[in-house]
Amino acid sequence: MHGCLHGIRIVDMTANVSGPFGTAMLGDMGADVIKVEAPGNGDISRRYGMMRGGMAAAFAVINRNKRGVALDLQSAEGKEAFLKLVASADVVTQNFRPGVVDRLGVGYEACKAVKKDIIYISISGFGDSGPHAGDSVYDPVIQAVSGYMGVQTEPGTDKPMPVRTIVCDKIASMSVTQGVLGALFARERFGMGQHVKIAMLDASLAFLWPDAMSNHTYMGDAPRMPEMGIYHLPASKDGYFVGFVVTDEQFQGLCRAIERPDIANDPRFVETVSRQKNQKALNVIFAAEVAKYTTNEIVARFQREKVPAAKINNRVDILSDPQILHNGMIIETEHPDAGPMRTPRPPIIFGETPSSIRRHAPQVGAHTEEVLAEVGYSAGDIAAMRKKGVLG
Amino acid sequence: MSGALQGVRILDLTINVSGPFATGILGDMGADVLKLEEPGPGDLARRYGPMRDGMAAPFAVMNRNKRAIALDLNAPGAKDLFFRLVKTVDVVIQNFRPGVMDRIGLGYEHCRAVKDDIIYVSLSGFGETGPLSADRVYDPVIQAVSGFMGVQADPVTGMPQPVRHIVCDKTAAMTATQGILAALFARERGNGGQHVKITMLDAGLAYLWSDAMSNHTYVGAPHLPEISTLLNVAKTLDGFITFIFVSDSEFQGMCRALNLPDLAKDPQYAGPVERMPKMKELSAFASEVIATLTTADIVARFAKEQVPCARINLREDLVNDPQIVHNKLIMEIDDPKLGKVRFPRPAIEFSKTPSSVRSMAPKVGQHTDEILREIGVSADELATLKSKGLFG
Repeated sequence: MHGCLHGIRIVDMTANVSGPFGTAMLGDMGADVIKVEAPGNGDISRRYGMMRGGMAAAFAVINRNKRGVALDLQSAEGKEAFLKLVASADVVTQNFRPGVVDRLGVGYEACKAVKKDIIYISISGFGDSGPHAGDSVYDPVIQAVSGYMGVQTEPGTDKPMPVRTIVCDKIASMSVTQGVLGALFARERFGMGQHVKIAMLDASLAFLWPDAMSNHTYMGDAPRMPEMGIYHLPASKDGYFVGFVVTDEQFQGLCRAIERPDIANDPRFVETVSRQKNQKALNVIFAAEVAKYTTNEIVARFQREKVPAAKINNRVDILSDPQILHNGMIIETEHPDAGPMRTPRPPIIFGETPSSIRRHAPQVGAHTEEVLAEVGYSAGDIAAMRKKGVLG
Repeated sequence: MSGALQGVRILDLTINVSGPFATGILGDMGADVLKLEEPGPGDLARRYGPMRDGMAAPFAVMNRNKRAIALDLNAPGAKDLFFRLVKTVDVVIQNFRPGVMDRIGLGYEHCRAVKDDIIYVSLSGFGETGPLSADRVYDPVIQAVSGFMGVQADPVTGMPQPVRHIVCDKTAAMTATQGILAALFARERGNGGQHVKITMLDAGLAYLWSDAMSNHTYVGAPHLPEISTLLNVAKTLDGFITFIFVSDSEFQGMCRALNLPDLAKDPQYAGPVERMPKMKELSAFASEVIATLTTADIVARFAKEQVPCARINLREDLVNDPQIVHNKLIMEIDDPKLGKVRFPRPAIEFSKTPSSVRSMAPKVGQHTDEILREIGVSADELATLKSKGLFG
């Protein structure tokens, strides 16, 4: 059986992360994703971070399962070829600055004219309009405005900190995936295409809000609580670990694990709501006790008492973590240009329509001839276009 | 037209965040989400964070648009009622510990027996098998194992740091949303129902990997500075900003904005790949100048030179941020019980099938009678079941 999106074709003009990571998840689900790039260097993220064989590692991971087409959209013929592709597709995605696709003649209306029920996805940083709509956007800018860096402020120093992964781009891309899937379902059921818009700022704030903005949700006189997510990572004898109590049973388990029966009935800690209020005091006791044990010892104690706990994996540890290995999360494969590589498998396990990794990330325009031939271009047409530089 | 999932009905047995945040997004898209809880306190998350009228703020945000039914699944006759409900829904979702649903006779096969094309979603922390599968799981445990805390480590001290919001639960929820949407689409195309499994660990790692594990993607390649070294947080005279320069034009723009012409001309900084290992020193040069300027001044200078940059919003700044206000991103609702509540509107803008917030989060079992009437339970039967204590 094929993936959920077998038979769906996506023409993907996006670059960097917010679009490509989204279309990669759709590609994993079986969609035929055609990555359209300008001839030459193509997507700027091809050259960011670790590179081998002319391709950055992060690019190779988030552009798997795609075919590459190079087209100069500024030329009349390039635009015509693009619209022919659109006519054969279900979904178009773009993350140019607001207004650019309309100027180029490849916006929603132009695509709808050649494919009536097209699903057209526009991804922006800040939205179509507004004070920052024209700004250059990368992930940290959205982290700053949407509150991630503020929320990440180190307790005690008041200095904002970044989340050290491209969190906002990737959240936006998950919203993109949902937008495409929601629109595909609606088209299947109700028959129409539509224009779907996702702003990184909007997607990021919607994701961050429920827990991180909980003190700003109830307006007026609601009493503030200690922020959630200020996880306490105490030092063991030989490193750090995480131990975490939510239920009252787990609190009792914690008292046994750290051999502190004297606090098991302490009114500050014995019940969920009071425990949240007195988290700091509990952390002090907790830190003093766990420092007596090695990480392995203390994690084993917690696990025995059914208190959530784990050792903290660094990047290298991930590669040999027994549960990650057991889950088969890391696939080792061989990229034709970049050589041996690791990539995570698609995380969703579908019982009947399995996702899969079927292709490596392509070089710029690697499948231009193949894809153009599929939409009716002859070898002669293609050669003529190449001569004119339309295909690079 | 209403939301993309108009007419889709979801029976939601999940608690905490990984499930409820997912069904919250599907509810925004128009699905009729039935939140089934044990009679009594119900979902643990009802009591986490600032509370008003017996309901915590994060719970109120994640469980909007849902109807609640309270049912004691262990009571005699409860299972029959459960399966009558299953017959009327498209999706069942659960995040009990692995094996629990099968043991109590409410697993995929049991549900499929009464509804042939059911989409059954199982969410777990570590997976259904493997060394950690039976462990208690909360967000920080998955942050520790999947690498978020390791990646977040302080670059100077190496001490692991948490991401200070419930990132792994919410990432799993975004992944589950995709799994459900894709399975609904596949069913619509004639592929029937299926069992869909999502593991928080797998979803976290798949989300984290592309950029954060880029040094571990190409096996055997020499490591480069992590992509997160591109992130800069700098102190101004009156606050904090973030800025990032990736392309050559952004680097040149930064040098102009900060009046650093020598840096701009220095051949060792020519080219994005060449700059990558020197980010630390470049950012130190820039930060020195930035410390002498006000936030407004530096943001204007960077904007003029098209260098991505932003003032860092703290929690209390978010509701007044001009772009957030412009995007009408934050809804304010005056609820008779909860008072004034604010939270972000659905992030994905569908032009034809708009998502919406139609009702606030329910009390435990608030809609029990209404839902049971809909599935054909008569008034007499309802009274009998009530007297047997099925609903608490």
